[in-house]
Amino acid sequence: MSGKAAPMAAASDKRRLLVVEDEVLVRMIIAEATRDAGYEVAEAESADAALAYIASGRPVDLVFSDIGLPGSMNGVALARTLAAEHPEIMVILTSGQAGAEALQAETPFIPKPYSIAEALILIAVTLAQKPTDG
Amino acid sequence: MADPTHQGSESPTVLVLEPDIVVRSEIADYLRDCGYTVIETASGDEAMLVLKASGMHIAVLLADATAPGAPDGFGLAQWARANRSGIDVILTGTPERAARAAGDLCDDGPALSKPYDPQVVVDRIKRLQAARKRATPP
Repeated sequence: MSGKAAPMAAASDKRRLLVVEDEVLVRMIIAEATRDAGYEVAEAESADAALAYIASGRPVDLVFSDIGLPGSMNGVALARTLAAEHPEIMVILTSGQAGAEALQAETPFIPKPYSIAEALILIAVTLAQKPTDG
Repeated sequence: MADPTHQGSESPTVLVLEPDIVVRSEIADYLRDCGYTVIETASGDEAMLVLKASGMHIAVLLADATAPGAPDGFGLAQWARANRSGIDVILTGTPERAARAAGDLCDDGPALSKPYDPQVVVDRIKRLQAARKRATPP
């Protein structure tokens, strides 16, 4: 491997998503679809993992999170934590449970099952509302 | 929804089992830079769901032997060797071993873009883990 370039430090203009979803097959599909759409995407299986990822310093522009999650907090609590500690990170919540939208009315919400096209539109619209970096 | 394992023969799929999100993300991104399709799993249960899902074409299982779940990483590797003979199984236990294994895969893989030294991946993982520890209250 010697002599090979190290492009990791190169800055990227891509928007960075963090998908938080405990159903691996759902997470895999939405993560790959958003990568195909041009985003840089990280995947977390719980809110705790998502916060650990953010705490490591890797940049995140938008968190796309299920509400029903295992661990110390659900998606609603994650959204509230991020609003308090990382207001620069946009959040979209999703759930298949009826009435879940009302749990966090101020956060963009997409009900399950959603189409990839619908999710991509909501992600783009939400990111467009994000203040530009720097 | 599209099946990410069906992206053509030029993009073999690596199933990564690693419970630490920082380590997993770095290894997965490294492999994607090399041209692989990567499926990320955090536990043996998740990885088993992927392996048993219909229509999946996994070429390589890169698993942390100590990953939690039922089965754990080691048990999952045993199951894959016994039941999915077409999958190359690589067991890791540390970020260093995972990065070296990913580097070896990149040497032999599609090389979508030029791979970088696995030590760069290890160093970055250590920096990110240290930052996470500083940000997490004791």
